[in-house]
Order: sequence, then C-alpha cells, then structure tokens
Amino acid sequence: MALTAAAFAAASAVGVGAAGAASAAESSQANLSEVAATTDQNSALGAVLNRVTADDDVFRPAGTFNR
Amino acid sequence: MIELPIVRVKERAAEWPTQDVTDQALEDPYWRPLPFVEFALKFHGRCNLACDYCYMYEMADQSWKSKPVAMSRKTIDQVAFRLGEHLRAHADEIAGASVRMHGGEALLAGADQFAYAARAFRNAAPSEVPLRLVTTTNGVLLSDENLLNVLREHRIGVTVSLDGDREGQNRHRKYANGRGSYDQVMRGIEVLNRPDYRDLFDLVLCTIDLENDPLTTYEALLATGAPAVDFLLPLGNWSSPPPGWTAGDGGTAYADWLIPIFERWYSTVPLPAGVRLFENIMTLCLGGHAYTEGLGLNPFQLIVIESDGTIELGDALKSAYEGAPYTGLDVFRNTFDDARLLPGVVARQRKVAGLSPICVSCSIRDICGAGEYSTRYRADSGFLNPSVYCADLAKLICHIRDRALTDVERLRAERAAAD
Repeated sequence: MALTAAAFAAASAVGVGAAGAASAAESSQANLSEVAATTDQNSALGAVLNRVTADDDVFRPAGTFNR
Repeated sequence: MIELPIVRVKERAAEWPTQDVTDQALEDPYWRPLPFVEFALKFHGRCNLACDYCYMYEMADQSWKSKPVAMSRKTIDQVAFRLGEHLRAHADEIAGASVRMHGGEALLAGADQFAYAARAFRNAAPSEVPLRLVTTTNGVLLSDENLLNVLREHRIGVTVSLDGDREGQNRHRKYANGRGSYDQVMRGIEVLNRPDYRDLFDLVLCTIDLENDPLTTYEALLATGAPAVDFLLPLGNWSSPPPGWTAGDGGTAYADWLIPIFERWYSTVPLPAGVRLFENIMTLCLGGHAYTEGLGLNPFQLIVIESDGTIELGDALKSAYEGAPYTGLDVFRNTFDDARLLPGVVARQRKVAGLSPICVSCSIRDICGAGEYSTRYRADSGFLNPSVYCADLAKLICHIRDRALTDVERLRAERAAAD
C-alpha cells in the first residue's frame, strides 16, 4: 500500500500543476481546423491536428503486441 | 491439461472484474456489448528467441506449455468460420477489422501457412467489412524472401519488435544460447526495406529498457526506416512492479526516459516517423480519439485465439497471474459473441464506469484511461486500480499536453493577429 500512496501522490502533484492547460484545450477546440491550416504539415503538431480534424472514421487496430 | 488454469481462475473469483461488472452493465440503458474487431491469433506457439522479459514464456502464465506448437489448418479454418460469422452479424456496427498473426514467433509457421490462413480469413470476411491482416515478428526470419513474397501477395502488414541499437537489442532479445539477435534482425529489416516489400513495413515496436539511453534508442529505431515507431512500457503491476520502477519512492523513471524522446521527435521538422504513443496522447489532448490500448477510454474490442483454438482475453494478462486470460471458450464450441459478456471483456468497454475511484476523480482520466489494463493488477483487488505507471503516465501526459496546447494557443493568437 505504501507504494501505491507514493505513486498516486506524485501523479496528483503533476496533474494539479497542469490544470490550466485543460481549459485551454476546451477553448481551442472550435479553432482547431483553422489552426491546422496554418501549421507546418510536416511537423508533429501538424500531423496530429490533421488527424484530429479529419475525423476519418478509418479502422485502426489498437492492440499493442510485442514479440 | 487445462485443469490448472480453471483452478487458478476460480481462486481469483473474488477479484475485479467479477460477474457484477457484467450485471451492472446490462442494467445500464446506455450500454450495449460491442463486437470484437481485433483478432490476435497464436499462429505459432514457440519462438526462435529467448527474450528474458517475454510475457508469454517468462511471466506468470505458463499455459503455453500445454498448447500445440503451431495452429493447425483445422483450427485456422474454424477461426475463419467464426470470424466470418461474427463480422457478418455485426457488419453494420464496425468500420473494419484486423487479424494479427502472432506468436511465439509467427513467421515460424512458414510461408505456406501464412498463404493458407490469409486466403481463409479473406474468403470468410464479408465484403463490406475491410479486413486488415498483420503480423508481429521478432525480425529474425525477415530475410527469407519467399516468406516476404507471400506477405506481399496477401497484403499482410509487418510490425517488428526491436529494442534499439545493438547493445539495447542484445541485452534482452537473445537466442537460447545467449547470443544477441541484433545482426540477424537488422539483416531482415534491410530486406523488408527493399522496394518490393517496403509497403509491408508498418511499425517498429520497442519495449522500454531504462538501462538504454533514450535518444540513442530512438535514433536506432528511426534508422530502421520504419514509417512509425511505438514504445511499450514493460509489463508489470502493483504486485510485481516493472523493472526500475521508481514511483513507490515518488520517482517517474519511465516518464523521464520518454520525455527527451518526445522533445526530439516533436521538434524535428520534417517529422522522420510517427511515434504512436506521443501521437495518441496529443490526439486525446486535442479532443480526438486514440488508436491504441493503454490510453484513453475507447472500448477495447480485441480477443485472442490460442494455437489450440481456445479463446482468451488480452495477451498482456499473462503477466498478471496464471490463467488470467482464460475464458473456458473455444472456437470449436463457441461463437465470438459468447465472449462478449465475460466480465473481463465488459470491464474494458465501460469507459469511466470501468475505472477505479481514484481514476474517476483524476483530471487526466480521459487521456490516461488508467493505462494498459494488465498494469492495473494487484493481487486480491484485481484490475480495479490505477496503472502501476500512474505517476509516469501523469507526468508524460501533462508534459505533452502543455507542450502541444501552448503551441496551439500561440498559432491561434498569430492567426487572430493576422486577420
């Protein structure tokens, strides 16, 4: 149980510190398509924004199987 | 030979998820059981490597010892029958499906068996459901062009497991005689990158080893030429913590290992390759859907079929306890629908209702999703816990979230100023 408590405490400390970013995400949602259009398409952010705004409904396997 | 798992499973009957999980779900007017869309086959039950961290051979569940060496054609035919039956019944509920030919080392099954299975599965699937065939390999046999030609002919995508550079790969991924596998695997990757086969290469998958330098590991993975990279947290749980786990002392060793890689990846333009873990965290932070288990709250719709045709739950559960993936079902006697109301299936399709109280009240629960299911395990309480990687996931997610959202806000402000 000691292991659990320490780990949870560390996680909580991180989560509280970043709480402001969550509201930023919500306020940004409506503008994501516009932001995606101005982002470098070859960047990580551009690639992810395109994926989020495309909403393509393409099936992608989720399982992570190492061997 | 299956008596042992039955006994062990009964011993765990009081652990979450119990039958109550299914009963409560059925009482929920907003919930319905979902079809399976991912089918992982134990296509070959043995391996030509002896990796010391392997969940199949080295961890709690040892049921592989009682299973056939390889999946027979009779079993393949029956899996194909059940696959077709399931996909036809649920065709209007799903956007596609995948069959992963897995092991052991799947390529040990040989070219003829891959061709036979691919034909069987494609013939069985209804035309209106796109079926993706994939395999995961340790890469040792990828230099066999006869095999690669069959994979190409049947459009079977390839994921290669690789732990990084020579030193990183050879630390754990060894032959039974102790010799490292790096040279042979890199020969296979070189063949896979030839123009004839290049399109088959889906992903290189790396299990994190804290002893390896993160950026050296990342660069070695990029050097394979894979279009995408993914990092896996080693399997472990609260009763059997992962190697080097420091969260018990307030540390975040795994987050600290991954963040420098994220920064290198995020800052590199043009992007050299996708990194699935980072992309999925960013996608969730920006309001999209994740396409990987272990993040987010998307229902997990995967089932495993062992080499003898038995139906099991997710493979990673083998790391929790003996018999953890056991269902008592098999493809000869049961449909895949028969597995849909198993507590271990329902628990992973309940979104917030399937999380522990600590996770329910967490500000990043929709992104973290309590982490990979098997890492939530604790003897006596089962899987209704945060992930053993709770602190690491929180630190990594918040770092990525703040980095991405800061840039989104900046871009939005720049656009507003320009207008």
